[in-house]
Parts: sequence; C-alpha cells; structure tokens
Amino acid sequence: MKEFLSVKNLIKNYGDFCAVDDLSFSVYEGEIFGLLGPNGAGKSTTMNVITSLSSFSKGSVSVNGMDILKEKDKVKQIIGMVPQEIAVYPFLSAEENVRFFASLYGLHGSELKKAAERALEFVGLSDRAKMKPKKMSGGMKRRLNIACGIAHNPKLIIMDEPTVGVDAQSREHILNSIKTLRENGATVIYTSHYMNEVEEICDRIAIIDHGRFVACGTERELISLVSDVKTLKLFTEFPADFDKNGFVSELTKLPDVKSGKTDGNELRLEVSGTCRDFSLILEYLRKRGLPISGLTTESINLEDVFIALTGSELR
Amino acid sequence: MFSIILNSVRSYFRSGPNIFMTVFFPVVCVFLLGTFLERIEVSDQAVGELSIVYSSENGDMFSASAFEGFIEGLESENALSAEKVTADEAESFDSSVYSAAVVLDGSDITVFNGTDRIKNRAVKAMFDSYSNTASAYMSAASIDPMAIAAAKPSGEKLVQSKDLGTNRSMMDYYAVTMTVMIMFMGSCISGASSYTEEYDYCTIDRLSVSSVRRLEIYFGKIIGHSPMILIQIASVMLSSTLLFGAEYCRTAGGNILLIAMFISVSFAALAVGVLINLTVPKIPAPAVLSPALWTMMFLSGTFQKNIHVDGLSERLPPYAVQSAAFDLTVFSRPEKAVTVIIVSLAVFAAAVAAGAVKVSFRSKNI
Repeated sequence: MKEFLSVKNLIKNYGDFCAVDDLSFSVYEGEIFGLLGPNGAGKSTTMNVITSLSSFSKGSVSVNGMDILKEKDKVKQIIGMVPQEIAVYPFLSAEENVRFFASLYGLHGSELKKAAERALEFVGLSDRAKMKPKKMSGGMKRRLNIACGIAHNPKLIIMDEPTVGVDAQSREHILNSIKTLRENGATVIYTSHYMNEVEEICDRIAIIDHGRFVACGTERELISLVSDVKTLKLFTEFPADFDKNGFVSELTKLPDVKSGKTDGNELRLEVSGTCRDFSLILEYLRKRGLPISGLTTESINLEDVFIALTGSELR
Repeated sequence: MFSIILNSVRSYFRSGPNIFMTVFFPVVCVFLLGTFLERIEVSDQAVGELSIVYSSENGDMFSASAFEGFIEGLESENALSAEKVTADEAESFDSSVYSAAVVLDGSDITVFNGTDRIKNRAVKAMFDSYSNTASAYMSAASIDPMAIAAAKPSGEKLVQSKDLGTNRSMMDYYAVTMTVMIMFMGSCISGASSYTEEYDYCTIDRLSVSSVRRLEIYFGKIIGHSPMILIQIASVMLSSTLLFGAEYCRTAGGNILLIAMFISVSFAALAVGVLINLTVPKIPAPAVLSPALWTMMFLSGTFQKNIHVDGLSERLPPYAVQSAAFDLTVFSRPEKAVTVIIVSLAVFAAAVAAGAVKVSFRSKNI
C-alpha cells in the first residue's frame, strides 16, 4: 500500500511542556486510520500539525509525498477537515455553507455548484439545502459539518469526533458515509471516544499517550498485544458424581484450549483468541453425555486494550 | 478572497442586531434627540432681537456725540433697535418691552439689565467694546490730538458679515453627531468582532486550514466591511435629511468632503477594531468596547452639546471629527476636515500594516 501520510519524529513543545514527543506513524492511501488517546494525549496537537494549524518544533510531516512546510499550499489543497464542533455559519443556508467552504479551495462557478450538490447529497441533506443550521437537528448539523469538510473532494480527510451527540440513525449514516469515502479512494484519519465506532470502521488504529506513540496496528494486532485469549462459557448439567476436574484436564488437551474451571453447572474455558470454531469442544461434551443449554464468549475488546496500554479510560 | 468578502457582507446584512444598531438606531437617535432637545437648546442658541432705551443727557458733549453715533451705527446694521429717553426713564425702563437700558453719565456708561440672560450678555458685550474703544481713542487724543483730528474713516468694514447658519437646528447637530457615533460604534465594533465571530461559530480552524492565505482572509475581512461602512453613513445622512429635514453642507463640494471625511474615519475605526481583535482574539467587542466608546462620545458632546471637559474633550477623536464636521457644515471651513481625512488615512494605513504583520507571524490560527 502507498504511504499517504508520514509523520516522523514529530516533536511539539509549548514552552517547557512537550505536547508531542517523538511521534512517528504512517497512514496508507485509502485506509481509515483511527487515532486514539486520552484527553491531553496529543491527538489534537498532532492533527493541528498535519493540517498546518500549528507549527511544530522538530520532525517532519509529509502528505502524498509533499512536505507540509515546503509545499504547504499544495498540501492544504488536498486536506479536508471535519472538526468536533459544528463549524458552520448560522446565517447561511446549508448549501451556502458548503459552497463557501468549497470556494476557499479555488472552486467556482458550475464546478462549485456541483461540488456543493454532491456533498449535500453524500450526507443526505439535498432536500435541506436551503435550510439554515439553527433549524436543523443535531444529526443534520453533524452531517452538514461533514459536507463542508469534504465538498472540495480532499484526498486526506481528518475527522475529529464527527458523531458526538447524534442519534443512532444519524451515526449509522455518518459511519456509512465515511466507509464510502474510503471506497472512493479518500484516506481518513478518525478520532472518536466511541470505541465501537473505531472498531467498526478503522482499518488500523494508533494509540498515543502523553504525546508518545503507544501502539499501532489492526484491531486484532492491538488485542494480541494485551492478550490472545478469550473466555468460552458453556452451560450444562453435570451428573452428581461427575469428575469435573478430570474432565477439565482432558479438555485442556484439545487444540486452542489453554485452561478451564467449573462453577456449578457452568464450564469456563480460556481459549486462543484466534479460535472461532468450537465444534471440537462441543463434540467432546456430547460424547460425555453432557447436554449444552447455553454458550457465550467473552473477548477482549479495544477498550480493554486501550485501558491496558494507557492506564486510563477514554472518557 | 472574494468569498471572504462576500461572506463578511452576508454576515453583516443577515444579522438583525447589526442592522438595528448600525442603521435604525442612529436614525431613531437623530429623530429623538433632535426633536426633544430642540426646545431645551433654544435659549443657548439665539440672542434674538435686541431693543434698548438709552439716555445721553448727562453725558459730556464729546462723549454724548460719540455714544449716540455708536448707537446709530448699530441701528443701521440692524443689530438692535434703540429709543432715546431721559435718564430717569432709562433707569425705570419696562423690562417686558425692552431688553436693556444704557445710560451715559459724563463719559461713563451704565447698562441696566433686562430679564433675558443671553440678551444682557449681548448688550453688555456691545457697550464694553464701545467703552474700550472710546477709552483708547481718548488716550490717543490726549497724546497727539492733531493726528486724531486728521484721521479719517477708511470706509472699510473691519467685520465681514456672513451667513452663520441662523436656520440651523438641533436636528442638524444630531444628524452630524449621530453619523459620528455610528462611524465609531459600528465600524470599530464590527472590526473588533470580525475574528471573534469566527471563533464563536468555530469556523476559524476551517478558514485556517483552507487554501486561502491568512493575509487574504485579513484583507477580505477589511474589504468585506466596506459596504457596511457606506450603507451606515448613507442611511443616517439620507434619512436625517429626507425624513427629518436635517441639513449638512450647503454645497455639493462640502458634502463630498464631509462624506469623504466620514468614510476615512470609518475605515480608520474599522482597521483599529480589527487590530484589537487580532491582539485579543476572542474579545467580546460589544461588551468591552461599547462602554469605552460611549464614554468617549459622551465626553465629546455627541449626545449633548453642552458636555465638555476642558483639556480632555478636545483630545478625543469623536470631538475632533465633530468639530471638523461643524466647521465644514456651518462655516464652510474645510481645513479641519482635510486634516481629519489625512490623519484618518494615516491611522488606517498604520493599523492595517500592524494587523498584516500580526497575521503573518501568528503561530496558530489567524
């Protein structure tokens, strides 16, 4: 995959305070890259540097092979930003807002008109083009916020918590829109406090804390950093004189089963994190005449990984 | 940059409070202040007709002749009307009919006041000047009587009478001061709100990350306020003239110079406002600047012409602009207006340059 954004040894100091400390990561073309970190971790500073909102002390940042200091204007032209706040003008209609922000990137005339229409259609606001933001619902405002950031068809889109405070329906619409942007070839950097969103849409995730890089990889790779096991719970009916310990000992000899224990009629097995086929285990129980009345699995999720790596929760 | 300009114009014209404060409010002030303060101000404005009685029967021959000649001269200039009476009649004059009584005794003049303070001051001023002139003449005559005897009147008038705008009203006064008010309030506060608005709407980052350069945004904001400046001046001047009959200059040239002065001052106030906003990015301009501007205008006599603090008022910008405007509108004297224009353009250029430097060297945002 082509490296689209490259951050190398980035350092940003505010006086004596180091907001970003030797941070390096790459984002590949056409991927959705999640950037996670607790408050004050340096996410916003990093994104501000990428968008040229902030200067930086040391290091280098390049977008599509262009250094953001040497080719600032060209880099700005291909970046779109969707800020966490609803950043639109209340006195302009949805269409006027989108047209204004697109015009800042040199679009004009029919090209500008088409770009605005396309962006509004993309976020499902075509029928609200003449509506002013103050009359819109929270979800519609969020979608307008996205339309304003993508109307000029940027190749790199930076989204900072784009779903804060929206209803489930709008969230679903927004997440699907982001996936569509990826399918259309855009590269997206995405931050959110909602771990399930990050798990759902991000191809790779970087976790930063105290301005430093903690981990980066796919969801599975991050989970494997913390633990490669998951818990399988089986509900059965053990006969009164059943040798539970001996049975558990036999089960641990099966592939993927690492350990186990019983609690009444509940059998808890620690299995390999990559194990998805439990047929061998179930077959073993059936052979011993044990009926299966229920089965659940408990996996480590991204939030567990985040807490384990940073020592704090996102919220 | 055109987009920024267009957006600034839209921002202004789609804001109800903006339109009210910069267009309707000054017009309403012209009407209310001009109408309600008109009567209060009359006694301070007009001396009115002067009618006196005088007596010269107890004066010495030379003084009586000169005294009567002086009064005849005033009558011929229509400065007053006079009736010659005896000394006793003069001292018991009817103050409901006459403004004052003047009695010559030897070479001394006594003025008996009437009931009108302004008329009393006018009569006293006339005869004080006569008395001083007569004293000077007598002194000269005692030194060189031949030279005085040989002196002939040149026939040249030392005082040129000119129309000083006797028909001027308080509406005219407030038409000028309200235009000055809106220039300072509207332009300065709009300028100081130009970036604050972007922070309020959270659009500042969007502007900053866009392809538009910071200086383009900066100049776009200044140019974007131009229509507002023109419209707010035009609305006050036209409405006060057409609706309330206020009068500015009597010549087209004077009015053009007056408008040029108003525009240049507005741009200077705007540029200073933007500079303030760049220095204090999130300043709540109306809350912070309004009290300062109101105080400055109050002390400059913008709302009541009698308010004046010696040594302070004349140093305040609104006072200087108002003074130049009155010089131009009432006396047709353009010198102060030209000075104000030059100073305003210099302030505008300096503020714009300082703002441009500030914008260029900011590390974050605009």
